[in-house]
Amino acid sequence: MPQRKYGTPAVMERIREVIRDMDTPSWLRSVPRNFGLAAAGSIKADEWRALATVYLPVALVSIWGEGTNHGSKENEASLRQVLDHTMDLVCAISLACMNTMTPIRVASYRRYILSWVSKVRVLHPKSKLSLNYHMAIHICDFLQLYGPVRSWWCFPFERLIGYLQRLPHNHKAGV
Amino acid sequence: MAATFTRAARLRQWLGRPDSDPFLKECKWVFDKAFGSGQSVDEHVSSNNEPAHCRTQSIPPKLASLINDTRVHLAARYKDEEGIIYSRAATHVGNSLIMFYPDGNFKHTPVPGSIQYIIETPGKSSTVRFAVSCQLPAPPNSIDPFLPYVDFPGKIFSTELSPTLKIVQPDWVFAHYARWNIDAERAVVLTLSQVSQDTRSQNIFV
Repeated sequence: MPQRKYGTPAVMERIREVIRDMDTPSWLRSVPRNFGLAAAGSIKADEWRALATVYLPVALVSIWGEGTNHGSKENEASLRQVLDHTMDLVCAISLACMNTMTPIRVASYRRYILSWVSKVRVLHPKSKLSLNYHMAIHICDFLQLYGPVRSWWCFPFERLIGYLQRLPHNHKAGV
Repeated sequence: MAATFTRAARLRQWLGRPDSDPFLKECKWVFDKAFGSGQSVDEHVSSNNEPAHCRTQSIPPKLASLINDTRVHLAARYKDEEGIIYSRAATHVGNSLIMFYPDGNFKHTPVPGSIQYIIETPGKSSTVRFAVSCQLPAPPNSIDPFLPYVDFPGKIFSTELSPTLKIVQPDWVFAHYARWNIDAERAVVLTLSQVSQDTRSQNIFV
């Protein structure tokens, strides 16, 4: 049985609609308005964060959440399951990105990420589990050890890599 | 170089048209401030009836009933000590959306509202206050699809704003929020705080 595709044109259009029409403060990272199209290029890590915590959840809840109609009860239940599963990840990311960290937040992060990882193969049978899934569970240990991710995330290094990539070079190793 | 120079000159000319709309005039003011022009910015502001960064204006009637002092400036935007920019809704809707503690009561849950005016009282002890229109509650019996997700800070409100204004001090502001209209009656209000008010009663690691 072929795996159901959830990123339909209607869903992608809703995500783009939210990106285009949402009123946001100027400090919030903007994301490509043509998200999902080849012309949008590759999405940067910081853009993924804004997408995952702001634009995607609002779009998906508005299209699959309570009060929406999808023809049959089975269809609605199936989409709600996928939405709840996605929202587990959204809540985990939102909690992990907080500027203050508490024991309750760490416990909540652990609960959400375990729930999400455990259901990936159930809801998306063809997906492959990678090391990142395992690593995401260990993040709660680091939250406990080092506090908010802002103190130890890799965005400064990502910026440095971007800077180094943009430097002019002649494809020869220097001395 | 000649082509660039010509294009820039044509752009300045286009921006400087006397019949251009108010938005373009505001753009020209910013453009002149950034790249310089023969006409000073202050001259432009004083000769222009459209909103500028900060200047004395006649007080709108619904604001006059809230404030006693009429010697105030109505500013377009305000930058606080932490560098966060707040704007009135007419200048930048997104920067005007704030979650604030009503009447400065920090035990109360923050409520969403849009800054309509930024009131600056000049003088030695200059103060800044916001006149805010609150986001009205969602219509009765409307469904809030965000309710099941307790750790996601989204909530449904009405798309309408309250017609009355409330005075809010900058230190009553909890965070900005993002807003998107799901339909004609319901708007999603998404608090963008990365601190969250529940930390006040909890043990914080860092």
